[in-house]
This record gives sequence, C-alpha cells and structure tokens, in this order.
Amino acid sequence: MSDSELGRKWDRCMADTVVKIGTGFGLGLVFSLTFFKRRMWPLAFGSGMGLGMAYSNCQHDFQAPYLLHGKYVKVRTE
Amino acid sequence: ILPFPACRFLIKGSVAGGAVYLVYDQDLLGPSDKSQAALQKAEEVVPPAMYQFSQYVCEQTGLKMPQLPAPPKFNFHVRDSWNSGIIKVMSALSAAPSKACEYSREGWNYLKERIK
Repeated sequence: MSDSELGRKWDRCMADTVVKIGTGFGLGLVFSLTFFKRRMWPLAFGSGMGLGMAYSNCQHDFQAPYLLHGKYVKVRTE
Repeated sequence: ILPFPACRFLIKGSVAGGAVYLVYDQDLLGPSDKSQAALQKAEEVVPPAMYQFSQYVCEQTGLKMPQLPAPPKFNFHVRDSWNSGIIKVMSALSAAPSKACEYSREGWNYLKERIK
C-alpha cells in the first residue's frame, strides 16, 4: 500500500467516523425525544453504534489488500 | 376523528420514521465512500443555505446582521495535518535546549543589569 493510498484511507476513515457518530447521535436524539421520554441512553447507544460501525469499516478498509479470498474446488477422484 | 394519544403517536412515529428513511436514503450508515460523499455534499450545501436563511430573516425582520466569517472547511487532510504536526513538534524539541540556554542567558543578563 503506497503512502498516498494510506493517507486517502485515513482521510476516508476519519470522515466516515464523523458521519457515523453524528448520524447515530442524531437518530438517538430523535428516538429519545419521541419515544423514550428524553432519556440519555438512546444517544449513547446511537453514538456507540455509529462508532462501532465506523471502526468496522475502517478495519475492513485497511485489511482489504492483505486478505486472501479462496474457494473450495471439488476434486473428483476415480 | 382520531383521539389525541393516537394523533401524538402518529406524529412521533412519522418524525422517527422520516429520520430513519433519511438516513437510509442518504446511505449515511453504509460504506465509507458513501459517507465521505455525503459529508462533502453537506459541506457544499449547508453554508449557502445558512447564508440564504440569514438573508431571509434579515428581510423579514428588518434587522441588519453583520457579515459572518466564512465557515471552516471540514474536508481537511488528516495525513497532511498529522505530518506537519509531527514535524513542528520534533523541530521544537530539537531547538528546545539551545532556546532554553539563550533565554536563560538573556534572563541572567537582565537580572544583572537590574541589580547594578
């Protein structure tokens, strides 16, 4: 992986983290105000979900070049 | 005619459902490149929209709002910022002993002149 590609991946990872945490927080805020009587736990839950999804995406993005994809091939023995 | 609790539930459900649909439609919780594209689109759309809204408020209320400064850019490159930060920290650390000697010498000369 070249340095520029690594930098682009980090930029994408940071942007993705910001968007996902913000989205999770926003959805948690909406559900907290509408259904859960202004409790704090939906905001924490949504932010945590967003953070976890962003971390998973980043991990997959960085590991993708090094993962080997194989398939099973049935061999007929006669 | 629906009873009041049912109306309230429908309104709340529609608000929450609309939020969920907006997230699904914009693909905000999807792959990272879609999230990055959504962030760039928001960076392009939000400042002009805020400026137009402030102009509308000024026209309706007759208030004269001062010119707001330009909004900060969200799309900065983490790698460049990190690299420049590391370079600045390392150059400051390498120059720290000589700077400390120089400042202490200047401080000592100042004290000697004050004591005279």
